[in-house]
Amino acid sequence: MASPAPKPKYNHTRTREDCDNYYNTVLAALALINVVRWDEPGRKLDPDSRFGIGRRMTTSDKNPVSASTDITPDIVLQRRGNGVLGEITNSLTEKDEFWTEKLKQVRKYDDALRGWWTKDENLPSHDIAFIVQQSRAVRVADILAKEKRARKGEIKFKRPAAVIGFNRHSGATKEYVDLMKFFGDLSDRDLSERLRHGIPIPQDILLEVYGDRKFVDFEPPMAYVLQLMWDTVFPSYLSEFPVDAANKGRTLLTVKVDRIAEDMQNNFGFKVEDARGTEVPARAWIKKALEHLVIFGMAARVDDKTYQVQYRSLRGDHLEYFGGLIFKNKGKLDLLAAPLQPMLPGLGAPTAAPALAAPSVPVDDATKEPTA
Amino acid sequence: MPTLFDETKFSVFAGGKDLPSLLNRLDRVFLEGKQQVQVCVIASKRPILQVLRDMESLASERITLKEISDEIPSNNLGNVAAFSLKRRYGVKERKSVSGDFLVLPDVRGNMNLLIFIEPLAFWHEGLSPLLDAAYPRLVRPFFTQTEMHQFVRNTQAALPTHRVQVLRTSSRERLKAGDARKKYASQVKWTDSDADTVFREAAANNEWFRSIFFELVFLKEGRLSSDDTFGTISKYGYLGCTRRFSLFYHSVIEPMMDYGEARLTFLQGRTRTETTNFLPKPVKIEYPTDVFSNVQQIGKLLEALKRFKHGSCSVLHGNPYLHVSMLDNYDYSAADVWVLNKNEVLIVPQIRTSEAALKRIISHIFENFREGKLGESRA
Repeated sequence: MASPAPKPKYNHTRTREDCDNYYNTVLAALALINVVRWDEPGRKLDPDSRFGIGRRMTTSDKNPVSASTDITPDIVLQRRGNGVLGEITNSLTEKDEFWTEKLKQVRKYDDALRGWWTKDENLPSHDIAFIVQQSRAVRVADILAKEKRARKGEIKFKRPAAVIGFNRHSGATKEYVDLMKFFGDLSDRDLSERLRHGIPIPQDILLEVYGDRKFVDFEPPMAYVLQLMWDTVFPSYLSEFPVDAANKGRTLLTVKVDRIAEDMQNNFGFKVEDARGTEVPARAWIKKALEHLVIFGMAARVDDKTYQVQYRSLRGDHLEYFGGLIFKNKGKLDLLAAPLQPMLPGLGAPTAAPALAAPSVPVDDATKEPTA
Repeated sequence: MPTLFDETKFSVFAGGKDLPSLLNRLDRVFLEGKQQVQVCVIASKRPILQVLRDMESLASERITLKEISDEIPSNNLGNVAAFSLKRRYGVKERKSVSGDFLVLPDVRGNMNLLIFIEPLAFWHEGLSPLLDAAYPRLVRPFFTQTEMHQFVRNTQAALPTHRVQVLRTSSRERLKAGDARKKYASQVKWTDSDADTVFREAAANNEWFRSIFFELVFLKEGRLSSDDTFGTISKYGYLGCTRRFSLFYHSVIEPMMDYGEARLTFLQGRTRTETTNFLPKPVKIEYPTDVFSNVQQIGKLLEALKRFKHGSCSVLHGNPYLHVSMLDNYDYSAADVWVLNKNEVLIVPQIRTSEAALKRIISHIFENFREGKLGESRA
């Protein structure tokens, strides 16, 4: 008789890599924001420049991919009448089909988009920056070059478009995030040329200038959210709740999704500053994280927006702890995420699982795919 | 036996409690048996008497803390109070220590003094564990090797006819051998050298002292003679001495309070708030050399952080740069620790971070990795 297949084991290295990749995209976004805002002659950041993470922009009715709808580029930048849209893809895949498909989607940014910080929300033109891990930048650049040469190439941009690779490296004295252009140009010639040679941005400067940003506008690994919530957000509520000896070292925290989301946006993400702003991190991710805690037996759902968390000290590495719990409860979590089966006739329509329902923001965003 | 001119523990506690007369009586106190005049510097944001009275009401089977009520009022030090403490300890063999201590609140800012005339066991088995249990309401300061050396220099400068002769050091040493299972060796070393030499040798050997035990000596007919003054200074704000209390008060205790208060002031107010737009206020530990150009040192720091007691360390990135999330399980303060520069450790307070927890993390890095210069982070 064949022996049963060995039980798969939790691989924490993978979880940590996923979290690290996610954080790399945060750094890449901040690095791009910083280089575009940088006034090279004045050697300082331009205080009048504007930027938004996941800002909602409206496409025209001639958009080749998504006409007359809202789209959310990862980064929207505006400086001295110039606009830059940045799209970050952190995938390490070597499949050309994946990149080709991504680039096709990015074509939707090659449109007279509305949503800029001007009176009529329009800009005469803007640039498109496709930001990828440096190790994949040549591959992506080659695809674009090939499409550009081909008479019937599908991926051609009317507006200035560039492929920018990002990479982290240890310098002689500091840690840096490098940005380097591998294809195309930006309309700011000086910036474009400097990017061609590569611009190293010290990581500590990003921390000082932009604060402790830990999120961009696509969903992070759930272990990352849970560790952050458990270690930094819940403890800030502890003083509001009594410690009851009967709870065996646990403190029962009654928490609201909205409050957690707001605290995480203020401290680690980006606030909504106008009607086109996007909440980063999204409420839906917070709710999803709380639903994970319910499945782990660490919280209970009071109502749609309220949970009771049994807060306690956890031993060891909390990222590993939550990564392990996610792995162990994968079956239950998959069930929660899956759409419900149709009910018997006459008993009503099925609804999505409440916790993991998609965010209500009506966007068309096929490009929002952090990893492959 | 005490003479008529000597003070006793009881007369010290019973007399007026303005600082000059207290120092005067402590200078003249007759010590019985293994008694020493001992002082502990301790920080508290809440009034310390209130904290101790709260602890008194929560007496457990092991600890009896009681305020001694027959106090003589009138002093210019605020509400000086006396407490008696009895603590039972030991598992196999039940033991207990008891003694009394005076509490001088708010001597410098948030710094308070506990003064007691008891055998050393009262400190080690009674009062010190009680204060540790009161963390983070009561926080013991920590001092760097340079500051410890300064205390000794102050003492020598205050009494130029004498010199501080170190008799014993309790130290930790980083183990350099790559195959060593332990990262540190703790040792008690008996010596008989002048303090400057002892501190210089410690620096050369990568050692740092938890405490030093010394004697005051003077030159008489070409030979060193004892002054019969013995003392202990600990890294964690403790002093014990057998004589010359006011000398040590000015040369050791006052600077301890100054350093402690300055450090506490530096570390406080780092919780993120709306008024500061939720921006973190990081602190850095700076080293004189590029310690982290050797990647192994990052590994050593990470190992040290993972050993953070009563807390957790979650690793987000370990190599080539370091990013961990630290959580203090005493008051659930959180801070991220980064190594982004080759010569510094960056500590980024999170949503709520108390000065006590920051102090504990920094002290842990100083003690388990290496001491550096604390400063405001400016990229």
